[in-house]
Amino acid sequence: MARPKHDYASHIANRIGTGAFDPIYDTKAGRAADRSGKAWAGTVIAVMLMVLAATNMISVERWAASQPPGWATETVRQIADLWDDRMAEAGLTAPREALAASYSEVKTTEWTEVEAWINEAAPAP
Amino acid sequence: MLFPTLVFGVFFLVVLFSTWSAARNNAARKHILLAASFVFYGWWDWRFCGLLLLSCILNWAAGRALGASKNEGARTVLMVLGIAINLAILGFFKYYGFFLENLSQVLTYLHIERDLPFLQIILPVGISFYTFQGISYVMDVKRRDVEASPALTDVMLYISFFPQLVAGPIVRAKDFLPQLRQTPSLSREMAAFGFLLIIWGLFKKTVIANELASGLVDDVFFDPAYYGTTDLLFAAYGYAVQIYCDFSAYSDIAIGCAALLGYRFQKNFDQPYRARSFQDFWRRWHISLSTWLRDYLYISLGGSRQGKWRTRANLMITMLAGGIWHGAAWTFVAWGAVHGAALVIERSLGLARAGRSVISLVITFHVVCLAWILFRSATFGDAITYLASLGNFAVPMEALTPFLAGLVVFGLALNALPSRAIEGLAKGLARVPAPIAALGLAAMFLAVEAMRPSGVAPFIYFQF
Repeated sequence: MARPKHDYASHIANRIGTGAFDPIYDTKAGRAADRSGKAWAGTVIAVMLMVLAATNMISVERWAASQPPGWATETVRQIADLWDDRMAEAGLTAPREALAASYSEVKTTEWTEVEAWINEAAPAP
Repeated sequence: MLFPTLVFGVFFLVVLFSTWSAARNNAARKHILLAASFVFYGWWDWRFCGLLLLSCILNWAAGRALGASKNEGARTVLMVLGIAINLAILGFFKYYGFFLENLSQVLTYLHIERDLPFLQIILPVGISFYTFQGISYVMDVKRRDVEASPALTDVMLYISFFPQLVAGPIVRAKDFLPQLRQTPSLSREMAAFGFLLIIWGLFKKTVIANELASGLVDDVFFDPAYYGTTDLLFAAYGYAVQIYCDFSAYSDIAIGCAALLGYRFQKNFDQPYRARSFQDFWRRWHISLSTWLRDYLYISLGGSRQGKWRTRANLMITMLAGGIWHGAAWTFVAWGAVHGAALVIERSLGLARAGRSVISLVITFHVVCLAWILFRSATFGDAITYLASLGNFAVPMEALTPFLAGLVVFGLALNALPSRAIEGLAKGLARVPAPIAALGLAAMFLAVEAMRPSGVAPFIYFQF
């Protein structure tokens, strides 16, 4: 039996065949696959949010601090600040802080320092 | 509402879980997405929503009229009318001031005094993108590539779908409308692809593009005469990297968000700076615009079917239209002219078909950078000053630091990555248990957060 003109699966399959869409979409995503995909994606989001809440609450604090002052943003800022302090005491913010510090150091490198490294690395005459 | 902000993150999660909760009811799902799209758009200025709504209704009505008409002559008239209305809206908001300014200069030159009706018009964000989508719908219906949608909701969602609403990719009606007719599904691969694209986009925008803009490009382009050859050269390369990382980041995040919502968008960038000809470049840069211009303008003009000279003229017209689409300024027209001329020369000399070497890559890249100088400069005068200052060999290096030089090189090196790297990574990630995948993704996100400068600059293409 011929497929209806706007059957979604055959439309996508035809478009993939012409290279229009990425083959990453070419999956046999039935209802079961959809449930599995959503369960997987939902778990990923939930775990990511927990990890980021433990390690990166400073972003929320900075966002709240950049908003027009008000009781809501001030409350969010104070809670985020407190939470971030607790996480820092537990050492959970250390990886982000270490990376930020190293990256900041790289950003401020001067040409003279690069020259010195090159001279150090060059074999002595 | 900018993508790399906490507000958008919260907004997107609310929309995502709301649509998942309406998984079995496609109509409810589309209403949620439609409401979310108007909230997203109204976040900039709620008054813009009226214009967006008007555009949606006009295109839906044009499609309905086209669908109902059996007479080809009448269908052609309806299509032209539909396109004219879209272009009139775009023309008024985007080009009215530009037209009057130029008219005023011509009248002054001719010693004619007239009070011209200048207006303070705010350019609605994303108008160029959704207008082109409206035209795509009307033309696809006329060409019978897609059936006219009886449902206003579908056309509204096609035009206003928030991931691509303000800076593309320009989605085709024939690609998107059929997707709206069935409840989309989400596989693990699509979800992994979506997550990775979003994080990759955030990295390119916040770590590379914003850093290059604030550390090098903006300062050098503001006063090019002050800087020497090295700074100017690296600022030009830096802008090439910045605009690529900025715009492709928006596209990546848009495609990633759409993927998580279960919809497919085509790739919009494919490592453009590895192009070895201009034809190749336009197959890799802003693919949704270049294919739009090819299918709806170049081919409508006759394409390459009507002789050499007509083909060359069609190429030039198409690229000039591409230039003016970017903005109401002569520098954009000149940018389009440079690309049009390059394509004409390439075609005339048969260079696009010839064996391509690394030398062709270098030449193509440098002509593209030359055109970017025109694109980035506020006026022709600024562009000429920039080009003339490239000879300031005696002026010492002022703006370029080792970090920024490294960032430019790194940004260019991204074009040498395997072309399907993200897709390959997504397939691998999809096989990993969700908590482990989440830890990996969180680590990537955290790294981006640690490296990004504070604050978020708007995406370059918002102004178009």
